[in-house]
Amino acid sequence: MANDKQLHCTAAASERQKTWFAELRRDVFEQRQPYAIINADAPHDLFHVMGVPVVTNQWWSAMVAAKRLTHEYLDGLNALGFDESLCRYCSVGLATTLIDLKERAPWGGLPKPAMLCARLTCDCMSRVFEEWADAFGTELFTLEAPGSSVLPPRWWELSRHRWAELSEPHRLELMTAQLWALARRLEAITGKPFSEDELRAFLGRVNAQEEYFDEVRQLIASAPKCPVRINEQMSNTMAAQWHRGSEWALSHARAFRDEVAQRVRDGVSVYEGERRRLIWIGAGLWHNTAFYTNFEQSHGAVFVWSMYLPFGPDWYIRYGLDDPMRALASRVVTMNEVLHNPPYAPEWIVEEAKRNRIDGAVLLMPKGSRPSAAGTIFIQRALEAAGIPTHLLEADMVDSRGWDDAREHAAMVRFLDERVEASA
Amino acid sequence: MKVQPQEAVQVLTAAYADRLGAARVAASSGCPVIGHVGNTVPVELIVAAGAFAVQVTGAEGDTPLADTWLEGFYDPDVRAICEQALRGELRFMRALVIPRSTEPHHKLYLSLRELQRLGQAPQLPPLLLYDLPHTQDEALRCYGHSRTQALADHLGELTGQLVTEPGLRAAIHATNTVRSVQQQLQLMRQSRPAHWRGELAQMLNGAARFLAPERYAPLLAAALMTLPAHAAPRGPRLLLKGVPLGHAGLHRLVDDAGAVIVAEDDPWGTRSAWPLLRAGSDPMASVFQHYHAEVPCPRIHPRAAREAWFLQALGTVAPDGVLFHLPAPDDVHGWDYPRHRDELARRGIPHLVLREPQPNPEMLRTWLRSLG
Repeated sequence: MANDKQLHCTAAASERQKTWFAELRRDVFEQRQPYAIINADAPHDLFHVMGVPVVTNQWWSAMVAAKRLTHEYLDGLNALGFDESLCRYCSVGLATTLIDLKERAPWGGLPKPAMLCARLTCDCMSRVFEEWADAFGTELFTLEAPGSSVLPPRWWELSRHRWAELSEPHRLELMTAQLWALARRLEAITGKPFSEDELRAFLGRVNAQEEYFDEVRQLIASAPKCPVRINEQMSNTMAAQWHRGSEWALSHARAFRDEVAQRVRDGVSVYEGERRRLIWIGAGLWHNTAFYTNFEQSHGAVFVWSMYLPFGPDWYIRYGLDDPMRALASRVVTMNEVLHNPPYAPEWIVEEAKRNRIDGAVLLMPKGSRPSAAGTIFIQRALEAAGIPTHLLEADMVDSRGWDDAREHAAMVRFLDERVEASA
Repeated sequence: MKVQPQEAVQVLTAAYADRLGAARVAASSGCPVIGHVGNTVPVELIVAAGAFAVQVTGAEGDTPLADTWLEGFYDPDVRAICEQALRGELRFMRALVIPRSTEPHHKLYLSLRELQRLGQAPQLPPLLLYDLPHTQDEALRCYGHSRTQALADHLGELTGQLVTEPGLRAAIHATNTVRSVQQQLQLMRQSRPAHWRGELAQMLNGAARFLAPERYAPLLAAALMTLPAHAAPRGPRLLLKGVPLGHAGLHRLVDDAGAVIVAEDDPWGTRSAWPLLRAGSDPMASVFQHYHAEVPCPRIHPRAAREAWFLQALGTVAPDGVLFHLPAPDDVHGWDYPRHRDELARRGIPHLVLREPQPNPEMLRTWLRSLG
């Protein structure tokens, strides 16, 4: 089966997720220990250092999508009067709290958290989280998303060592102050004093973890054929990212590196008949991850790259941890802009496409999640200008309601036949 | 020279239609023109820097150039501004200031910066980001105040006229004069029976964005003398809420249906007249506070600060009904709708949701008839 897991690491990552979730259920769902619901771009690091378990909003959305319950929750949200045009990726979690699916609710539904935390990136974010905090009757902690006027196209050359330049002094100062305020709130919740030394050590482990990922991305880029499917790149990377800074995550990243290196040494590839290399741009297609492998046998087309693996080393690594809160703030303050907006995203993706000898690009355009979709055309045009054919796939990452498998499959076949093959 | 009331109406409605017209005239006479996007850029700073301030807004018509760079779900307003930038229609400006007060405007800033970098917008003036946060807490106030000062410094460098305290006081006086006359207009609209057709009131009020304050205020004062000629229909009095309306089409539709919009919870209508700025001992702080917390903005957080005006207006304006203007591609204001719907039900105030950019007149009339 094309969608089978090929790496031992993937099973370990999956097992760790199960163990983690069992612990979360025990600690949070059963023993009602304080936990937090936070957005993906919030500083998980502080919560980890302070020993506050977190449920990440987007991870939870992906879990709901994987259980094929998204449409029921979103239909329920619409029935409450929230229009279907509203953003979906960030609101599925809210829906799981507002809509009671009884015994079908994933793990019985999320219990009341001690805190919700979100960065106010798009304008709907405060509204979604205010509704959610109201529904739980709990506290909402928000971080601002100040705008940058320093926009270096080759940001990845600055992010590891010269991150202060990338962040602008006033923005860095603001975000550092906001993170300190968050740390103080977490102290109040846990009764535990915050330690800069612990954060420094934690971020040191994050750096080490991302260095392993950096090796993996180099191995994948330089191997004659792709040694790891992007499904498994995503699951191994994100399992460690959600638990970043832990000994398990560091160990897992190392094991992932070792296994990929061994596969490359042994000449193992995900699909022996690989002829065309594809890049996936955007969030994962969580409701249909089999899509990534559907074109291997028919066209020898293998998805080689998604942002999840390389973004770790290029954005998370921060060398120079004298002031660890400031280093963390530099990562938080521009995170979404780098992922989606020009000039950051087009320049980085074209660079990565060249490095990975890409023949064609598929760009996810989730109209129901505009922050993720905005800027896609800039990326598309940059890729085309670099000689890489592109296919725009209009679909949501978690909402399968508008997905027509036959139609999307046929569109991909046309793209591969008419654009990718023609330009080869 | 004293302007005749009817002539004042004509000048104001013409300025509302030809939105960059007065700015072009100013530029041709050698006055630096600074364009701005949205309602949160302090025009007082621009005026104090010796420049003509004009809001760059959406315009009717196709946007073929912008369409090749912006996804289909972008706000029409943002798309139209991008189109003007790509066509070179903003080239006479000394700079364009874009605030970080909505995500679409932030995206507009990033997109225009990129188009400049790619050489696709050679005639676009320099872009300034006004990084104004709207979370109401002390750390953000300090940050926003410093960014406001930075904007003032930058504007002074661009025009060659530094923003001084006396200059800022004079500018605040000028814009407060505008607000005072606008308040008269708004109070006349809200009286019973309502004076002023909604369409005309929207145009007269909105023209302030496109004229110099010292020209606009006397024109509006004169226009208010034409009242008997522009009396509103005697039908239901409505409050409008939702996606900001930079045009008067919906007001006209309501007028034609025999009702009248008497107040708007958006940057273009009623709320643009309040409150006056208090120059006080620190005019820069007053300017910042006004645009940080007192003007309508979807990013104001927390909710209580964002919604205070609406909840109060349900009592003070006492509308017969509320129109929620929530057309696609709204992904912000709709989040508030279910709670506001419930609040209106509690108060016994009917409402109608408009999800189409061009609302169906018959649907509107049917609903208005139901109001009695």
